[in-house]
Amino acid sequence: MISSSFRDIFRSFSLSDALLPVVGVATEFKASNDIMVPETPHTWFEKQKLERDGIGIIREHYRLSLISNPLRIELVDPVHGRNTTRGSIAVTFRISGSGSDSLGSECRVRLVVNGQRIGAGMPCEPLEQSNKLQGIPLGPVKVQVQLYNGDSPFSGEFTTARSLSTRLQPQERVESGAWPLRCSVTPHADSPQPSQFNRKSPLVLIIWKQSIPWWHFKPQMCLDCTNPIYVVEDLECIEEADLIVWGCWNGVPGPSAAMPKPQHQKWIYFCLESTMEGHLGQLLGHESFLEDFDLISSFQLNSSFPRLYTPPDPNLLFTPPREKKRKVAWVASHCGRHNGNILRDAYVSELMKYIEVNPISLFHKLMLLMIF
Amino acid sequence: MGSCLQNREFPPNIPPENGSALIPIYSQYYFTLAFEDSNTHDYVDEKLFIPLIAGSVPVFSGTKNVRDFTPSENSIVDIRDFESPKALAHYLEGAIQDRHQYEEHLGWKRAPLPPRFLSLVKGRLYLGRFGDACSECCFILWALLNVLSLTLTSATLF
Repeated sequence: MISSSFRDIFRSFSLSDALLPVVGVATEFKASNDIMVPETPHTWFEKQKLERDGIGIIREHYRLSLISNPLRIELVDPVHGRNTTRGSIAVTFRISGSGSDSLGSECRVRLVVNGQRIGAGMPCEPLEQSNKLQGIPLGPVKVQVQLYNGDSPFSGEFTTARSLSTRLQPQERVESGAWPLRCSVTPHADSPQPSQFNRKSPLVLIIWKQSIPWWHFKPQMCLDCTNPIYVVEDLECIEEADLIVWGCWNGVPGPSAAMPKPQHQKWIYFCLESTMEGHLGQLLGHESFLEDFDLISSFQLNSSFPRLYTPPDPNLLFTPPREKKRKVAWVASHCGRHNGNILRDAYVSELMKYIEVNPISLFHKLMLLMIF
Repeated sequence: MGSCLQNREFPPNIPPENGSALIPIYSQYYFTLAFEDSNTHDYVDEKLFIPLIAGSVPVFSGTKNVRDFTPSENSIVDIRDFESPKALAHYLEGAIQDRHQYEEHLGWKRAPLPPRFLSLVKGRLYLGRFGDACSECCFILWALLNVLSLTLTSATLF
């Protein structure tokens, strides 16, 4: 049974609504200010292409609001062409407000692109999720948003105002091995000067450095090595890299669909995010995706290079305990999200009936990630 | 109360790099809820380790192999061991009232860390083959050594 408020969600959702307003059309690679498109290896890669080829990328943003109360879903949709036959589309959902009261806990938001259902859907709870779809045939792209409550879908849809179009030709690759490099590079901020390296120095490109703070990587340290490595964050002649470290990737297929992988080059997939459905590390469980990479570095102890969230200095753990004044603290993000075991909000609400718990709020997850 | 049951605002201006800000807050609490947002094998993040540093016993929800990542068996409380929030609350209240019982959860701070946990923490790589001194640089070099067959001396790594 669909409740009346569930129907209300789509009352204001029609094709014409969906097409308006277009909040910005940019010819260069920048998200408009009022829309946050998180940087990912995809966007990094696109930026490289743009800067190298000088070809504009069609980028349209749609802000799609279904209803403001109680549940609001915004669809942020940059569309651009990439190669001769197919393109890609990035869709960012931002769900705010809460629909679980009126819609029930079974409520799911689902994205459908050209009839292809993406993922298992998200709960009707505050959430932001980016979906990147590649290999979409050129032409108008039909994007649908579906709300499910049990088996019954209610859906709204829109078609992008512009078609995906042919823009970029596949990059020709030259393995010159020339040194110094024949292209411009941006060394890692902490890297020694390029003059300190020679062709024998392994050249490592780190893509999406935002995901790398957990490394505490200090290229300076590598100067002491018998064979120091040269670490860069930007590399115009990407094919010259010996090793590319890719941050979390949020779409299938993987980077090999976006750029050719030179034979001599090796790729590491570095992603410390959870593998659960809907999480950024979801593709760690996707075998065909992992085939793109030579090495995997994740939180999983059986990956090639397990990487943990433990403190950099073990002595920190021996910080002496202090005298206690309060009973139970809780700092959480994504509170409405089920963790596969419990619904944390509900569990804590119940717990609070029996013991004093002090939730400490408004601490963005990103800040937690930066702690060590 | 918002969707996160908020009743204490976290100071908004804490710079990200100053994450130690959470430690003195947690350290005032007997327990800290360490509820991961996913229940995935091996997945534990800073929600577990910050309370451990602060000396506030983590009350954990997440992967059932969490104890592969803790300094001792009872350094945490796993909600899986309790049939209900009520039973958990009862246990926590009991431990708060019984100093001896509570101190047992923090006993690991007064003993050397078990070798396995130490190898997890040192270098933050679960790789005994590197020894304790392995750095991030070592990580990349090892990768290169293995996949690129570059000529590196073993002295580079150890």
